[in-house]
Amino acid sequence: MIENWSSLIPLLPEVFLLGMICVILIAGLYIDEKRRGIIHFLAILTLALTAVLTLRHFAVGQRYTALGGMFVRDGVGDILKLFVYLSTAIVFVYAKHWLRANKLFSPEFYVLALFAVLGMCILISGGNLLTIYLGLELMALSSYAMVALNRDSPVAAESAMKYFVLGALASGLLLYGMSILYGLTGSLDITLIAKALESGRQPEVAVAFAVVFVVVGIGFKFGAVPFHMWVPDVYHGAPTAVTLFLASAPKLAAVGMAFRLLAEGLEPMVKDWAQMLGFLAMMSLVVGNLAAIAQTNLKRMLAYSTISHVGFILLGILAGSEQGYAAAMFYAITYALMTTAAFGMIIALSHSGFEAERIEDFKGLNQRQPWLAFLMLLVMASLGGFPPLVGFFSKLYVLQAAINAGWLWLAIVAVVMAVVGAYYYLRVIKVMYFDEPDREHQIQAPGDVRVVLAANGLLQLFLTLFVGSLTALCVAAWQ
Amino acid sequence: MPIETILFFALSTVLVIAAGAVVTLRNPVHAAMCLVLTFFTSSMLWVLLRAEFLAIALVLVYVGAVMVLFLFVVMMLDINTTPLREGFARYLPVGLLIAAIMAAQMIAVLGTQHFGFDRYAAPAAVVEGSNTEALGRLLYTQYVYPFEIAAVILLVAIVAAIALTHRRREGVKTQDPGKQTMVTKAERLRVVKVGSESKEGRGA
Amino acid sequence: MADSALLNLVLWLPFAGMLALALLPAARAELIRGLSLALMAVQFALVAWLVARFDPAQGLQFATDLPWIPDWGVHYRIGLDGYNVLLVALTAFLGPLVVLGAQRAVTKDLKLFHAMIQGIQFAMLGTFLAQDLFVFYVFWEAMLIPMFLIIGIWGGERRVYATMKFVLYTAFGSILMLAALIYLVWTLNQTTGVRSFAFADLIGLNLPLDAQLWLLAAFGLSFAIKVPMVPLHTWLPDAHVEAPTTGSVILAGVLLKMGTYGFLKLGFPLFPEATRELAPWLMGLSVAGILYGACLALVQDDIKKVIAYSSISHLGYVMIGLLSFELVGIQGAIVQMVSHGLVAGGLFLMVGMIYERCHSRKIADYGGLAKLMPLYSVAFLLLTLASVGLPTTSGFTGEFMALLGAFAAGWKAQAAGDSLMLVYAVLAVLGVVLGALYMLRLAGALLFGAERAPHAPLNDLDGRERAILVAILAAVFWLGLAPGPALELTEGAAREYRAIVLGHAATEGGQ
Repeated sequence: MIENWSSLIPLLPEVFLLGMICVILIAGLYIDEKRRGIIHFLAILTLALTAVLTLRHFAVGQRYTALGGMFVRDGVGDILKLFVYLSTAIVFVYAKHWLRANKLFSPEFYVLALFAVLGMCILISGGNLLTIYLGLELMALSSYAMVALNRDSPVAAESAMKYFVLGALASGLLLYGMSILYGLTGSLDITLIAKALESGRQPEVAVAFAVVFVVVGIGFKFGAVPFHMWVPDVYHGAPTAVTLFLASAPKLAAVGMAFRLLAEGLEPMVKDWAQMLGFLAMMSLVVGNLAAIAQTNLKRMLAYSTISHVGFILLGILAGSEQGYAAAMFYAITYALMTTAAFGMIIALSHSGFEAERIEDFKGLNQRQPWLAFLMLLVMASLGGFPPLVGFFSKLYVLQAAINAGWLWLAIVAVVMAVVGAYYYLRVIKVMYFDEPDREHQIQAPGDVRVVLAANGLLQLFLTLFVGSLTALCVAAWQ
Repeated sequence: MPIETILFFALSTVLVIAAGAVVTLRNPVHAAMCLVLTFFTSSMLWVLLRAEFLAIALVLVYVGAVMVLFLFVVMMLDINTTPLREGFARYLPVGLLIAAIMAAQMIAVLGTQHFGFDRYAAPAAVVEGSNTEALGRLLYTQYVYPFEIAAVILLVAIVAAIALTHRRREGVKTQDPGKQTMVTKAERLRVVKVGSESKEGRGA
Repeated sequence: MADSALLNLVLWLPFAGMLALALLPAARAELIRGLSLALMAVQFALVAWLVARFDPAQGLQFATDLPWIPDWGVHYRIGLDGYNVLLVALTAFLGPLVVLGAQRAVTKDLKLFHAMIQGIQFAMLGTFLAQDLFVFYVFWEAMLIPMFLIIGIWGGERRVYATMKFVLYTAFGSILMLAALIYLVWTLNQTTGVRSFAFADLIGLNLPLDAQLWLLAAFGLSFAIKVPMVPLHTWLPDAHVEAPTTGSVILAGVLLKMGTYGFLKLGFPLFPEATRELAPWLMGLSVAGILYGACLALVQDDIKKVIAYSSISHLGYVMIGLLSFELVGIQGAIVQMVSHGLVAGGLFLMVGMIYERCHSRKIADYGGLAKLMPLYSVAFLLLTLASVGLPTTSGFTGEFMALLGAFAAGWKAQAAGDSLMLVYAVLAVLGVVLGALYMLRLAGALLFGAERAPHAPLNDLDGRERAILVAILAAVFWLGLAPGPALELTEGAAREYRAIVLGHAATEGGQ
């Protein structure tokens, strides 16, 4: 019951976001095709204003709850949300060019993406199993629809179907785990569940059983092996603009979800789920990196590389320490910034009727478009974890956390796999710089895409100087 | 034996038989009708538990909306279901075995030893008013936030459904009354100057 | 304060230059070359000013210490000290020469080339200047990608193979170093509660011998690959031969020294007990490298390969000097690093000059250049003699002092009943003889005999080339005739290194 309206102030960004989505939805009906740019502008403005509202009551070092604990604002949530807004805004800038070129430029893309962002915010701020689940579903449902947005492409339809069926299955498993947790603890509230589990009065087997289902649900949302089957198909089949979106912000939301469920709710069971995540992380690192080597399609390669990066994120989470969570968060943030740049490059090189999605399409890029090639070099090197780019620091941070938590063998696997991974990123660099171009690289990307892409690529280099501040922020989120 | 127990067993028997029939009947329409029966009997069970809101919701939503839609689809599309059933008998033993193992495992973990009545007391009955009212009260107070999110999810479903199916067809002739009434004279009436026949011309 | 700001300027100038070059239009070739050269020249001037103001009596100078990643205990620590002062000077000295040397040879993708040269200069200077293990590692690794591109884009026929091999070898070593680094800092944190990567904090750490051995092996492998020491050297000939002239000069001139510098600054002082334990083995490998490199250099038919293998041989002296633990040997090793940078760098530049004219590196294609290109021949002969180690050249100072150290250590060991060190020292002298053989064979085949060249007529050196060679030869003779000032700069560091590695008890017994 709402006794006091001021208790809803922490909820303001989400409420504002929802209101703006409705405005955009209605505006989309009345704005004709030539002036669709207004929708684009409105969507980015919405994200910016939501970010401002989030910053107004920035919750680092604090914790507000509203609506009887169903909604939680804390440092972790706020930082993740800010980067969700940021990466989505970057996605919008890149996506507009691609959507225009492929005649998919419609208000629905923006509306669905913003709905997904709303779902992520609800998920990240969920203090209750119910809101976590609903936030997840809001995000997932919007994503399914976005994958299928290109109705005329059978590949997109197939991947959307796959995504939907497997996603629904995973949601079901998660829900099942949640229901067992509810049955065992008699509560849906995250903190109450943790308190109840702390007492240790629940039968251990049954709790472990529930944990399995929750971990499977999280593993699926991350796309960790062996729940990764959908990742390459969806990345490959979805419209590139949508892949770009799916690859970035939802990873941040998944980290938030793992924090809420595992680190807060199931904190007393850390021994159990750390083991399970350890297995998932190892499999993801091995399968992701080895499979990526064999790919010739850049989108598929990036999909498998995502799987391996997920392995690293899990490595941080399973450390089960503040340092580990901070490292995982740092990794997810930097990864989102890298992956937007990588897909942004594909979009910048695409033009109407042509999709630069094969690695071969980047042949000799340096001779035709040296600046773009250089940016791609930075992004690939950063993904591969070459110092001094920021990807190196995120890997190192996660490894440190894992070693401190006693996961030495897993850290060794991760390091070996990182070297294997470096190979396929180097291959892209090799193709761009050492091979002769066999076709023209037409660039039709408008100015805003170029500017944002340049900033995004150079960020890989310059973020190195501010690694200290970013890690401090991630650590502060946990205090 | 109290009447409630007798009713429970009677309804449960019907429920189980009907549910079995849903998956074994060959005719899809018959299977759908059996599903309707299944829903009905389970809503009866809800009534027995004094959960009249759930009972009514089940009938309204599943029987009234979902099943009718389903029947429409089955009858209008005339899907050939034989290929779907191919190999049913062949895989049956394996399927049964796996199902039995899974059931046994889940009973072992989640059986009455952990979730029995001795561990969990029966929920308290609603003290005042109907349970529809109690549910409504909860939904609009304590659970208003999830309720609103659910509403947003439904909105997304609508947007997605329209975005994925609605398309503007080219070359379809339709009337637009708005345009018809907005028409001006200049658009419809063209005054053509016809030069009068000149005498000189005829002369030449 | 102002001087430490100046040192930061020196370090970040090439980085700014890289970005500035990236923003220039690709068509303005002259502007790009000019800017690149100007940056290098300014940098050299600044370094010269700083070196002149360097006070040999003090340790670390012009230092900067800013928190970078406070949560990990990483600080941005740089500074000039006796260990790195000569190498920083060498790097800054070779910078403008490298850019000048590439004036005509590189036409393809000029902008990227110069940006990468600046980038690599930034990484090399950073590696030398770093006073924090983490900063060291990041700079050490940062040079990988620019070098990958320099060999891969502007290299010879098998460039992709060579560059991949180079990167994989180096990356393998780096991963080991990273693992050891994390363990080292973790141990420091466990034992003292300090979270720091500073050299100064880490050097005081007393580790058990077996841990030291493992860590030295990890660091050592990484450094030994760079040096390269003998079983790990196979990337070097490929990389050298396939690299463009500029790449070879950077590789031979500076990059290889990063390995020996790593041993001098980090590998040995961090793990002194393990170093003393392993010294005979490492000494053996170094002597094997000297002889093996020299023997292979004798039978090559490619000019570049001769010089590449001679590098393996010459860097063996550096290792011997460092491992002699005698002041004279250590100082000799440092001088030898600089000398080899100058001489091998100069020789590679000269190979580049003739390759630009004739597009061949086969020894058999040339003969009688003394008549065709008299100036070139004089310079080549002088550099050959410096490489051989003739007195009055820098090669003599370096090799002679390193050998002197080895013999001093050998006699001491002999007195203690162990003659192995002495045998090594004698074998190392044999390397000098072999060195004279292969270098004179090369010079003889190229400069004398019947006049022969794949491309005629040959122009002798032009003004630009003369300027480059005069600068190098001046430095070579300066180090040969008056090594005093240079030795003075490094003496403090050499003493400190010796004291740390031998353990503090043994310090007083030395010189």
